[in-house]
Amino acid sequence: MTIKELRKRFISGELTPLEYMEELLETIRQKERKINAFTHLEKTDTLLKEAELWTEKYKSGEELPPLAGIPVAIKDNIAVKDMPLTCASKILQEFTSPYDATAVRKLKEAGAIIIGKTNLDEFAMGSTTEFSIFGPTHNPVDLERVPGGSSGGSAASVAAGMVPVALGSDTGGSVRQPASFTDTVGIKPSYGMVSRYGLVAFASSLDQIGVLAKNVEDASLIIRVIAGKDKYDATSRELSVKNIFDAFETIDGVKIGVWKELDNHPAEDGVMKVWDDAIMKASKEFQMIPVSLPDIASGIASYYLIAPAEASANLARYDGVRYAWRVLDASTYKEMVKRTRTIGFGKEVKRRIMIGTFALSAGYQDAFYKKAVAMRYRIMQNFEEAFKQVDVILVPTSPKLPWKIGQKMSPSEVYKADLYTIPVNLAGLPAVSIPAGYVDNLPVGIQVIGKYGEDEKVWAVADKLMGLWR
Amino acid sequence: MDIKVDKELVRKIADMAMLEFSEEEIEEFVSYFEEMFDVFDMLGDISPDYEIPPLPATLHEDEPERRVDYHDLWMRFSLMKNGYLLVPPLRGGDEE
Repeated sequence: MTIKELRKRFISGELTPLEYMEELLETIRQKERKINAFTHLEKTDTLLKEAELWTEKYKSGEELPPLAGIPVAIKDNIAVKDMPLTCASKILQEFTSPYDATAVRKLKEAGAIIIGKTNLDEFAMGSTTEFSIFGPTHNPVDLERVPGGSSGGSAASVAAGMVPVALGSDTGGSVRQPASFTDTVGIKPSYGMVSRYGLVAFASSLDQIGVLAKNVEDASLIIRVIAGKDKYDATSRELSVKNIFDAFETIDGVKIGVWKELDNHPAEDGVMKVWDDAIMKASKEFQMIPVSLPDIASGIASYYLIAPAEASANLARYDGVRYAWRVLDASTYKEMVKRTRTIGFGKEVKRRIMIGTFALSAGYQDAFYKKAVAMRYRIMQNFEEAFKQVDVILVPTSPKLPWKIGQKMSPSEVYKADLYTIPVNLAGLPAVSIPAGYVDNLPVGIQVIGKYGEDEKVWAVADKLMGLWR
Repeated sequence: MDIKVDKELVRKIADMAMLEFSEEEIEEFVSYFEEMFDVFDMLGDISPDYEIPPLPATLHEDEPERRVDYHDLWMRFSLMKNGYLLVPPLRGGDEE
């Protein structure tokens, strides 16, 4: 059932927000112990009370905001007033947010009920949702496998039917890759479309709030609600979106680009099989044009310098003085800061701080950081050239199928699994991962990537393609 | 990359990042840095002084009130062009 359908049923009285909330809470009771999607669930009484309030308002027949009584889950690196904001890290485990992120404020103003906070890799650094102080999240499609990450909790909560939609964040693919792994839809908007105010900073020039849902319509509807320029985020923009319940734009004559160099950087066999089938089906409806993006494989190197460099600066604020937890038995300031950070941060976060600090240190900037920035621009130019020929571009979301929880992989092996999603963040483009098929009972997603600011077109094409591939 | 990674370098970086590691962890970091340098080799021979081109991606160019200048958007992160950080990182610091 889509949000539009839910709203229609709430208005007709066929279903009430209270009944719907009770259904979801029952699903959570049955599944959460096995999946571990949430880091925090709002109290049942509070949720039922809020749902009851909306039920009464629907009964009264008054004009209600667009998401009245719709439950939404929020990734635990996005601020929700009076809820924990832990980033799945020990260093923030005692921290409660005193304010709402702009995206959350807009959801609340639209009538959404915030059901709880979802699990993630610590500070959104990871692609498995295993690196969390709350333990790993399990993939509802196959409980022995990872749900992807870092927005794995949001993806799992949607895939398991615990919520219709959830907010995530996407710095290098953290919404799209879990969407691919859990057979859901993940939207990463154009950089600047959604305010980052209240999103805990990881890599500020790449971070963007996104949405996970079961269909493109619901995910894009939520983006329409939370989009817009915000005085608290200087990089936010008033990019064009339609009214909340408007239909997608028509896409007659849309030309779809297919990444030509994929053969040089192929995904696993199973993923390639689904990809080939999907391209064949799409070619019956759309004009498909091979496009060259020669440098995007170098995005891995560029990203894993730029993102840790920004992270090392952003995470400097966790010094034991300003936020939450600290060691109490240090004898000097420096010892307190060092020990707080050493104990408070997990292994992967420390890796990224270390590599970022190195990349920015005097003497190495030219060899590493500045080259990474130069490569970022070259990748942006690659897309510019490609978009002279086509309207959107298709690329698989992940080169891998969801792997087993606890599977041993070296850090660089895991990083290389971000190969197809990272270039989109480097170039600030909009993209959607949609389910494209199954292989060995595991889902495969494909990304639709668009020109900067043409998010509506990307969603319209993605919606059509998802219909073809289902 | 022709940069020698040793335990001394890792210790120096750890101090700058305000982190502490055991000897075993420092050895792990030496391997990690070496592994990452292999990844960074993918940057190839691109010049760090690569001239940033005037990007043509200006959205709604013909509608001044909706105009979005892509290049301006990115330049808000002076971080990207000048290696200047928006949030100053911790750098060793004084004892007290």
